[in-house]
Amino acid sequence: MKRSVGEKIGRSIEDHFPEGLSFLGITGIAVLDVFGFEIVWLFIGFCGMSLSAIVVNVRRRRATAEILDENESLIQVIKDGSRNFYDLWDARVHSIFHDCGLSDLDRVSIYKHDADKNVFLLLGRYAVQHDYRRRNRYHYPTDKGVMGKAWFNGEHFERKLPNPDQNFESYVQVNDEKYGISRETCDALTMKSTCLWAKRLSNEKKIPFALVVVESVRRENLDSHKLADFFSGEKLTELENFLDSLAFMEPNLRLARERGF
Amino acid sequence: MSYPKAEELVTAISAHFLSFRKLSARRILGIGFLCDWKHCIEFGAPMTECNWLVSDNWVKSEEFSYKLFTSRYVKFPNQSPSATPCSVTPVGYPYSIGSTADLVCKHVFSVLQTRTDFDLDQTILSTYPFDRTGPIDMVSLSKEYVSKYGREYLFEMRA
Repeated sequence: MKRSVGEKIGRSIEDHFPEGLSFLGITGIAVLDVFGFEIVWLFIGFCGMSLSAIVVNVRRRRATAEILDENESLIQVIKDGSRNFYDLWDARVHSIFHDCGLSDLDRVSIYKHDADKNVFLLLGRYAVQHDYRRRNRYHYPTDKGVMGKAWFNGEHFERKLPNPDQNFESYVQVNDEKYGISRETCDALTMKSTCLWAKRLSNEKKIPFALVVVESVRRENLDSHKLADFFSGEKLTELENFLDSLAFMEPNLRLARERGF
Repeated sequence: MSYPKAEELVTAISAHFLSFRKLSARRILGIGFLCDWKHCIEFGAPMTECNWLVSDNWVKSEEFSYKLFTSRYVKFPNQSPSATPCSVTPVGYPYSIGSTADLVCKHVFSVLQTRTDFDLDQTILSTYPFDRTGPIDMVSLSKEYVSKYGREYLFEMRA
């Protein structure tokens, strides 16, 4: 409970920092004037606060405008006909992959939760290797694998699974016992990952609605702290907002049926 | 290579759409797929001899692409999926009124006529076969679809 209140206060300060700074600066100057204090260094300090608030505000607006511009240009690309919804997400995940500094052995995927069917839908995926990049299915269960654990706990890291090339039986056994993944599913996996990290994403109302999964075929190849740092703060908010803002584009069977297909 | 039914469908699409709307090769391919899919749902068989597959986030058919890029009526500057026709020769609608192909085309065209290109993409990506990847067995998938979701009975509308 304490942590939750602390988080709320922290988030509130972060969200309203420029306004708070501006308020302090202007109030300070007003107090100095009303009570006739002639303290130059305090006056300069309050002026500095007000100016800093303006600078922070301008920076924030610029960052928001950049995101909005990017969304607009991506929507325009779709209208032009060269890319569709899934291409758009693949491109987005591609840039995340590079920003994360991942290697040829790794892959990033973003999944959206379908509340009606209680499954994850694959939105975007990127890996350098073509086989790892391929979409073999679009629906994933919410109660299995690292995805299931992250969906339940918020975040999950699997540092090393048994090497499937050296001991496939052990790989199957651990996947079954720890994550409820069947032998058939293990057999069918194009990318037999041995190091995985996943994080749950939430919408504006703080309701979980998506997952980001980073995985590698090399054991202990991922740094969970580095990934957790990367997918936090502004980067996380930006990704969550992007997911939210593109929700109206999501394809679904209900829509196809309404249009007679 | 002879794919007469695919050629007819390319002709039907060009007769209906290309005089008033600029469509990329990729989107024309998508409309062709929707026609085949709808025909399968309603009549249990596709209206062309195309083999469709889902790959790289879109639907593909070698047969349909071949007929599209070699059509006598629609000329493309290149064979890129994003290419739009550089010239279209006016052509008649190839299907006889009341045929199953005609019913399906009328349905598909009327749905798409008032829709934006974005809606078109969204409709194609929303169809049941798009849940799968690789080659699509349209007949068995359409049976599965009809058993789960029913159909609109365009066949009865013909009577």
